Amino acid sequence: MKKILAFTLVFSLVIGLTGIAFAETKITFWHSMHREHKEALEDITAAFEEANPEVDVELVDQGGYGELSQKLTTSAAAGKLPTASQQYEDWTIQYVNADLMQPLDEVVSQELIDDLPEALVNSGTFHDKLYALPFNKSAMVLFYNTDLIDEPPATWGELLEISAELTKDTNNDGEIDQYGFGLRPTPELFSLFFHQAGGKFLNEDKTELLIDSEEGIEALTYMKDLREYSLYQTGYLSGPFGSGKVAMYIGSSAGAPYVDSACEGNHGWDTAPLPDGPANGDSMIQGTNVGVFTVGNTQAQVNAGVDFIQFMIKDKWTIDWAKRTGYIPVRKSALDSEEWQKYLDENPRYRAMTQMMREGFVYPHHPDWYSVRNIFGNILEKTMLGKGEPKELLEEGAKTFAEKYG
Amino acid sequence: MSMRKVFFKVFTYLLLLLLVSAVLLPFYWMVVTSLKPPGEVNVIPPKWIPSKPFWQNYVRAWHAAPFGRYFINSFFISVMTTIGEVVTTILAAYAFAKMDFFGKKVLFLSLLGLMMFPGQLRLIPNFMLASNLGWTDTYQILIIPWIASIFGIFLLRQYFKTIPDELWDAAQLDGCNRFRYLWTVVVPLSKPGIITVALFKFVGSWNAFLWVLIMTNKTSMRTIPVGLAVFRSEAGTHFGELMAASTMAVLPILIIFFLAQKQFIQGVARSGIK
Repeated sequence: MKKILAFTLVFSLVIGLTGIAFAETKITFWHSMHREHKEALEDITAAFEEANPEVDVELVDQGGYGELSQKLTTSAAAGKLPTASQQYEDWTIQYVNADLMQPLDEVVSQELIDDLPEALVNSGTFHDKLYALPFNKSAMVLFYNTDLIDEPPATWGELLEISAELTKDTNNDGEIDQYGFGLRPTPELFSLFFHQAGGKFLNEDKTELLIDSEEGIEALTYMKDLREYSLYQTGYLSGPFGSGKVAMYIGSSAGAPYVDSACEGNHGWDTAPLPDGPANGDSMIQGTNVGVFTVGNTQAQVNAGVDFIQFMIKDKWTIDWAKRTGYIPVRKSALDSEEWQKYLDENPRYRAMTQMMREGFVYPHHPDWYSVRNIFGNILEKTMLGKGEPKELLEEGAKTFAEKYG
Repeated sequence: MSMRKVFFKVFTYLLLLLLVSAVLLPFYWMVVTSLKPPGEVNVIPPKWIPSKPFWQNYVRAWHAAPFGRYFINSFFISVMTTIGEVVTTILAAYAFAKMDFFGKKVLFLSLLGLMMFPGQLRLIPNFMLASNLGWTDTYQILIIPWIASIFGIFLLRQYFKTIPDELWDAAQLDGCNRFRYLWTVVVPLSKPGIITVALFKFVGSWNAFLWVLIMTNKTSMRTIPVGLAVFRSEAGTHFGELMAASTMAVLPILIIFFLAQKQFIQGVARSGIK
C-alpha cells in the first residue's frame, strides 16, 4: 500500500512538474503586414516558437495602419490589449502616457540597444526611457531615372540644376511633358528639407514650434524654387516616375517594389543617397516599431512578448525580413554583416538605402504629432500654390501650434 | 408628335444619359483599372482602355487574402441581418402606424432621438459589452445587434400609414385578427417599402467595416471590406488588385439590385389602391 502511495505521489509530482515546464504562454501580436510581408513575419514567428516551445504566438492581422490604431485605441479603453503590436511613435507616446506599456531598458540587453542606429533608439525612446524596438523601417532616398541621369545630384544646388535641365516640352505643344522632379506636398517632405537646412522642430519643453526660423525660410524657399521644375501632385509618385513623366523624386525606400513594377518595360531606375542640404544630408526614417503592453497581460505574457520582439530583430531575422520586404535591417551589426554586404553587391539599389539608415533622423515625440504635422502640410501646399510667402506662412504655422498645443 | 415634344424628349434623354454616365463612370474606372497591368494604372494622360487585359490582377487579388471565406461571411451576415431586420421592422412599424398604446408618441420620439448619437460614440461601450458577454469573434455579435433599425421602422411606419383603415375594418368584419391582417394584407401592399428597407440593410451589412473590424480578431470571422485593407500599405496601393477585388465584391450586390429592381416595379404595380 505504501509503495503504491509513494509511486502515486512521485508520479503525480513528475506529471505536475512537466506540466509546469510545458505550461504554454499564449501571446498575441497585432500587425498590419500583408502578402510577402505577412509571410516573412509568419516565418519569423514560427522560428521563435521553435526556439521557445513554451510560447505560442498568435499573429492577428488588423488591416491597415489606420485600422490597427483604431483597434488599439478601442482595446486600450476596454483593457483588452494584445501582448505586443506594431506602432508608430505618436501612438506609443499616448500608450506610454496612459501607463499601458512595458519599459524596455531594464529587460533588454545594453548590447542590443548599443547595436541600434541612433535614429532608431530615438524613435523608441519616450520620456528618456526605451519603450519600443524598431521593426519595419525604411529611409527616404532619391529615386532617379537612369535613362536620363548618369550622375545623380549630390547637393541641393545640383538637384535644382538637373531638375531644370530635364524639365522639357518634348513635342513643342506648349505643355511640359517631362519634369525634372516630382513633388508631393507631404508634411514629411517639408520636414526633411527643414532638417537638412539645420532646423529644429520643437523647443526643450515642446511648447513652441520653431519652424519660423531662418532654416524654415531657407527650406521652404528652396522647395518653392524646386517647384518650378516639378510635377506637383498629391498622389504617390511611383506612377508618374514609372511612366517617365518625372525624372527624380524623393520617397520612402519602402516604395521600391511599387517603383519597380511601375518602371517595368518603360525605363531603368536606381536610388541615390539624398542630396546634401546646407546643414546635412540626413534622411527621415519611417515605418513602425514594436512594443509590449502590460495592461491585459500576465507577467509571463509580458516576458514572452519582450522575448518575441527581441527575437524579431536578431541579425538573421532582420536581414531575412529586409531581403523579403524591401525594408532595411535595423541593427548596425546586421548592416555590416557579410551577408547583407553580399546582398548589396547583388542588389546595388539597396546601397543608398542602407547608407541613409545610418544617417537618419526621426520626428520629435509629441502626443499630437499626427495633427501637428498637418501644419507643415498646409504650409507647403499654400506655398506651392502661391497662396502666401514662406516667412508669413511659417509664422502663421508656429502661431497655430502655440494656440492649439502650446 | 410636335416639334416641341420631340425636342423635349431628346433633351430629357440627353440629360438622363449625362446623369447615367456620371453614375457609371466610377464603375467603369474600377473595372478598367482592375484590368490594367501595374505600369498603366497611374499614367498621365489616363488610359481609358488597357492595352491588353491583365487578368493576373484578379488571380493575385483572390490569393492576397482568404476572400473565399470573406465572401461566405459577408453573405451569411448580410442575409441574416436583412431577414432579422425585415421581421422586427414590420412588427414595430405596424404597431407605431396602426395601433394605439400608452406612451406611443414618447417612445417613437425617443427612438428617433437615438438616431442622433453617432456610431463612433457607442463603439467603445459596445466593444466592452461584447467582450464582457464573451461575444467577440462570434457571428452573434455581427448579426444580433443589427437586426433592428430605427431608420427602417421610421420608413415602414410612414409607408404603413398610407394604407387606408377601411381595409382593417373590412378585415375585422370577416373575422381577421391583427396578426393575420398584417401578414396577408399590409405586408403584400407594402412590398416596395419592405424591399427598400431590405436593400438598405443588405448593402449596409455588405459594406460594414468598423464594427466587424472592432468586434473580430480571427481571420475566419472577417468580411470583405476588412479584407480590402491588404492592398494598401504605407508606400503605395496596389490599385489594379484593389480594383479587381472591389469588382468581385460589388458583383453580388449588383446582381441582387437587379433582381430586387424587378420585384420593386412589380410591387408598385400590384399595390391595389392608389
